[in-house]
Amino acid sequence: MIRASIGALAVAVLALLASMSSYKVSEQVALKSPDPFRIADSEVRFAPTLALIPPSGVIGYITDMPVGERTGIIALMSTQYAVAPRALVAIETQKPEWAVGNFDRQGDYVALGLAAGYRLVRDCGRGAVVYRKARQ
Amino acid sequence: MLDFLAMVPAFILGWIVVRLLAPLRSWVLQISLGVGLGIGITSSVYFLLVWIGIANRVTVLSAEIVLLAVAAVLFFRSKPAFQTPPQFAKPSWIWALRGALILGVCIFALDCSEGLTASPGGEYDAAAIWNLRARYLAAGAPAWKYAVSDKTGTNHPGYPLLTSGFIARTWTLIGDTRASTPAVFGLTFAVVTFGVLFGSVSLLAGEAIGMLAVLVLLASEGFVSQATAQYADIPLSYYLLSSLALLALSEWSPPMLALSGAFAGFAAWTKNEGWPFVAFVCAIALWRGGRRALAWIAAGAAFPLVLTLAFKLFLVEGREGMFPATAAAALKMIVTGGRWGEIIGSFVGSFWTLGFPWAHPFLLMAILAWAFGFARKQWWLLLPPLGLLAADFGIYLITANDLTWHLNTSNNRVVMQVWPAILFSFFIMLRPPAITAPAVKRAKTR
Repeated sequence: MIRASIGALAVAVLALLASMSSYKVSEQVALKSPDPFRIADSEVRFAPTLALIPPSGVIGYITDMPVGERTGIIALMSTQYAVAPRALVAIETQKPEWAVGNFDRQGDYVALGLAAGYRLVRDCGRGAVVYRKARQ
Repeated sequence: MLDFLAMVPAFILGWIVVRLLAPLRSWVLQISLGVGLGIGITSSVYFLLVWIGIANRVTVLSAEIVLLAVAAVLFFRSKPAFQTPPQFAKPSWIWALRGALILGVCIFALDCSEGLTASPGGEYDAAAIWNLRARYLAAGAPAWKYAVSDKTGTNHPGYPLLTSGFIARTWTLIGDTRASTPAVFGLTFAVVTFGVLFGSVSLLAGEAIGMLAVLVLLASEGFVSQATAQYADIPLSYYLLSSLALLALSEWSPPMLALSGAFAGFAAWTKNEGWPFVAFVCAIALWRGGRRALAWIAAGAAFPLVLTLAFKLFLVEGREGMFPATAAAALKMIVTGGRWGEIIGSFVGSFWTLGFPWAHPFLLMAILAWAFGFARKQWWLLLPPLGLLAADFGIYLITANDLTWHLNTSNNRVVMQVWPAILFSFFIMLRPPAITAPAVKRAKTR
């Protein structure tokens, strides 16, 4: 019985200390890298675009970030989630009527759109842009 | 708060079904099992309504009210004969464990609060897979088909839909796709996992050991850190644990075996890893309980398994390119020694990172093994979770993906999925504290 009580109490104390350490780790992560995948941030950035694009269907995606690399993959994922339930496809594979732009750097968004066959509808700020297919 | 309220009908439905089939003398266990069962049932019903094209607030509510009414009628007609659980001594220091458990749960709540403050939308796969597909499902036609097709950029369209389905069901009921719903869903599963572990171990080995089991799970940083990730791994770990706990508690009673089968089936409706687990549970039931036990497990698992199969066979567009194209290519991978070493190393690393070295769960388990010793002989309950790990090992051996990437992105979660079930199997084997003379006297006068 003594052995059981010593063991149980030792485990209880160690488990609580481990829980505290786990909490400290979470606290540090929250301070150092909040929203690491930009999921919440993208929802805010792309909120103004939602009123301009159709409520459903396939939407094109134009970006200045490399879609094969980590930053580009994360940006595509968070934008896709922000504009869902619309499906997001790279304009290199399909040319839907509407497209959203997601830009990391300030640039000539009109020219970037025209190069892909789209005209700028509205620059919603912070690199979030709405495009529509340019008529020939 | 509204999210949680919209989930409550599902929880009540599950609780009634658990009360009907499993007369367990533990309200913590009844409620914890009921929550997961209700989520499994209502996510399945919601998905069927989506599939036939009539999912909206009215139809979802109507379907759930009908199910609740039927369950309530059966409930009031039944006279459950509650199991009489074995009596265990309550050691004099049990108050310290109760205090530690309450404190541990409070720290867990603070931990989750920090996690949700940092990432309110969850981790990468939450938005890339589970919550994205929930948004598609909740939008109705034609968007819901994006959830099951790879043609529109959806990752893993063949992943089962319990998680996405239940989140979408809740969004449909409340009328918007607020970010808090997946967070509430994830936290609910973490809490009921603690509940099932505590309730089932308490019934089988006493309250003291039940509380120690939860404390060790709370000390498992690898598990706790996933509570706010909004992935399907904690729900899966819950279904594996619940199925195993019911199997252990069943004493081969048919309704409880069927319930154990249902939880195993809902594991397959949660993630593909549920399939090998179902096979291992069936094999164990056949080995230990005979053909009748197997039949009841299979009967309980039938609905979610058929639903998952139908979803995969008739709806999913595109296939996962995870396996080699030919048997020869697979064999070549299997005989490559370097792959074995890399996979073993990854599993060792994943178990190592389950906790802090100075309070590692294995260290805590070793202390308890020394303190209590082993009594029970239900060692075979360890086989389904270990079997699932072996199946995962086999998948890694023949994965067509880059092995290092595959291990780095999934192996810690694979270990975490089976961790509560492994803890359960370990803790029910511990010898409960001996009854001291005053405790015997108290027990006799009751």
